[in-house]
Amino acid sequence: MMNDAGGALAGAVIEPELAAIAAICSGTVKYMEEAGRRYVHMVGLRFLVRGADQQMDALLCLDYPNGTYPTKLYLPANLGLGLNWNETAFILAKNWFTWSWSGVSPNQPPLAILGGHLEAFR
Amino acid sequence: MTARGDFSRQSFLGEDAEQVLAETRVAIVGLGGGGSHIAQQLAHVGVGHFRLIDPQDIEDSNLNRLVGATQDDVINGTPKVEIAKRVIRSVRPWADVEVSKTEWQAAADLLKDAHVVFGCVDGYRQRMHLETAARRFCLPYIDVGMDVTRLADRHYAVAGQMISTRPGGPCMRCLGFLTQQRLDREENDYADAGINPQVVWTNGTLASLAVGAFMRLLTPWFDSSTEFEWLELDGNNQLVSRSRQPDYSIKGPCRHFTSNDLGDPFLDLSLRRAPKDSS
Ligand SMILES: [Zn+2]
Repeated sequence: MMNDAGGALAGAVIEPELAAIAAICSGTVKYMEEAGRRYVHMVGLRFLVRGADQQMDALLCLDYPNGTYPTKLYLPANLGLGLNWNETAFILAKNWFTWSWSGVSPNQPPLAILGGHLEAFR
Repeated sequence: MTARGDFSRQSFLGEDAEQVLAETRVAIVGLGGGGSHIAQQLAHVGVGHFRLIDPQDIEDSNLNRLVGATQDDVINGTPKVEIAKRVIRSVRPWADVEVSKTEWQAAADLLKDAHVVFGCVDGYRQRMHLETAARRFCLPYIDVGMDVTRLADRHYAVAGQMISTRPGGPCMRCLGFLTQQRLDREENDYADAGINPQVVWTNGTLASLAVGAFMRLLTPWFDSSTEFEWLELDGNNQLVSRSRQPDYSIKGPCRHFTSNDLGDPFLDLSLRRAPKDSS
């Protein structure tokens, strides 16, 4: 039984390219779309923030239509850290925060895109 | 005259107009220069339910345009939503007014609960997100905004627009208002955002256009069927005209918002307990 936010697709097969991300998440990892844009939604993503463990849901946009920011990572909270948190976005009926982190190429596997954004917190 | 008041001077709107308006729930996002005007007018026409969202307290520099605000409010730092609530309740004490002193993204429950959303926000990206939210909850969206552009030394162009879109029709991207170039420029130059000039008379005109669009939607007193409205205000010449941009931009049905993008995609029915049978 699913007990997380991905419950609607309980039992869905994880796409192979998302399996590596699923390994660092406590819940469902799946593709979602809104307004023609493609996302990876992660429940309970585990990552390091300045060396300390963090865990929260996350949303990775794979095709953001801005040449400077071709991909984006959205988090449910503004983590501060001296980064330029410059947008409160409303995507897939949820509130998200993102910051200026440019140049993470969309032409690589989703895990590499995610890693490119999480670099900001190392 | 009813318990709600005497609406005889607007009876041309239809026999049931008073009832329709009293039962309508509007969300107003941003209660500054544009939103405060809109709230005041909607109270006068007899709207019964308000959902007001704005995170800010009033500041001295808001007094040049914030309808209903007083010097005491500036001294006390009154939240903008509370000023609007006071204005509405002073006109219609029976109105149901819920306020949220937060960013609108954190008050999605108030948006979902509305029949119509008014957007009075800064910036193209916020407009894009707000229209996206309105579409997701299947709500008509009415947007106002104004700009002052410096043309040359001591010459300025005052301009604004009122855009109204609705689910199923062209969105602000289809219309050619939210262009990728504008969104990108705003995002890439975010650090350069200067002060945003605002004046009460231009805001008032735009608010009136927005309320007009709302009234046509709810109580169509003449025969006009439009899927959207985009009115441009040339504030220097005080002229309002229909924007011609959509004539060039609309390329068929909206492909930005599809029926897949409706509702809350994270709604998990398995988390909802069935009501207990008490028999
Ligand atoms: Zn569209």
